[in-house]
Amino acid sequence: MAKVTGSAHTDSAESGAKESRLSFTLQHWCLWQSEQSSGGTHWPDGEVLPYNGGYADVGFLPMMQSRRLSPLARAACAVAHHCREKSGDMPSVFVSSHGESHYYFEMLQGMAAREDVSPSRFSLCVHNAIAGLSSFHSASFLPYVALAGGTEGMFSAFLEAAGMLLETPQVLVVWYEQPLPEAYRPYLSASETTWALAMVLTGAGGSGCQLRLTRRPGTTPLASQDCDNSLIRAILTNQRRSSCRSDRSIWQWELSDA
Amino acid sequence: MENLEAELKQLIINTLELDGISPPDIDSEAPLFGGGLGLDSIDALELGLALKKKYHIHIDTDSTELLNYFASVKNLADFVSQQQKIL
Repeated sequence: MAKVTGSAHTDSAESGAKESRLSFTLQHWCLWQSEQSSGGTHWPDGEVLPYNGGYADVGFLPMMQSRRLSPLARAACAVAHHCREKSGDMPSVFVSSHGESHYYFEMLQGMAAREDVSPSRFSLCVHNAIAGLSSFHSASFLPYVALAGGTEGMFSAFLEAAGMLLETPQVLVVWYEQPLPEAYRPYLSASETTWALAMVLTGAGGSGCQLRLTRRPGTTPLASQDCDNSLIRAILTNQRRSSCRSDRSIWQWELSDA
Repeated sequence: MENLEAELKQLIINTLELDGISPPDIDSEAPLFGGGLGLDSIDALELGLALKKKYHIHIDTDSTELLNYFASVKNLADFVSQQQKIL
């Protein structure tokens, strides 16, 4: 097991063949979702933003910046904003399997009907649009990456964050999803709600809760589970450990007090 | 022309999703881009598309006059009515 950093351990020589471990300090988290939360005890060091009638509050933005935000972009920008407000500016990883699916599906329908493409819709449906908007809102000059799904689902963000932590003391990770347009639903599993989750991660051993993840490669093709939903449920109910199958692997995670 | 200006103001508000702004808030002679409303280049493209759709006018993007046409609501109204006469 080669030690890559203080925060990430991987078996780099045979990656994919053996288990990999990632460890972080979870400094802060923030969640918004398009359904009323039932309250109760959630994970420490974080906040659930108000439901606000089904639209995440972006009152921190001037109207000229908030006017074009979709419900999904509002959610992602809101949780990112609250984490940056708490922990300062930092490089970020934005992750979504399907991104602004309603915008690009509408655009494709328009093109099929030989209509002109709306320039603002086009610019807002590229996969890094929300990451770019959030960076713009916070006047950040720090790097960001925008990841799509891949075979590791939402956990790919932790791999990316561990890599970024080699070069920077803290990383903001923002996950965001929404229900897919009806036409895609027979073919793909997707979220039933609109939600966004942000975490501020630093290297393992810092002051704060320790988040440890272990990835084990799957030996046979696995039916993947809804890992996003199960992690959100865990956060909201203060569940501290679980595991989830993605396409090619099983991810176990555990959150422990410092 | 005043009717057309009011119509264009409403079109600008709807197309560019200017929540909380109403037509009287937009000064017909104030600059639309840069200063004034503070619209950006994507707004300009979006507005061009909306004008084409609503008034069926041709916008020559190579025209050196284009910046002038889009400078204010008043100029835009002049431009639209000119183009409609051509049609």
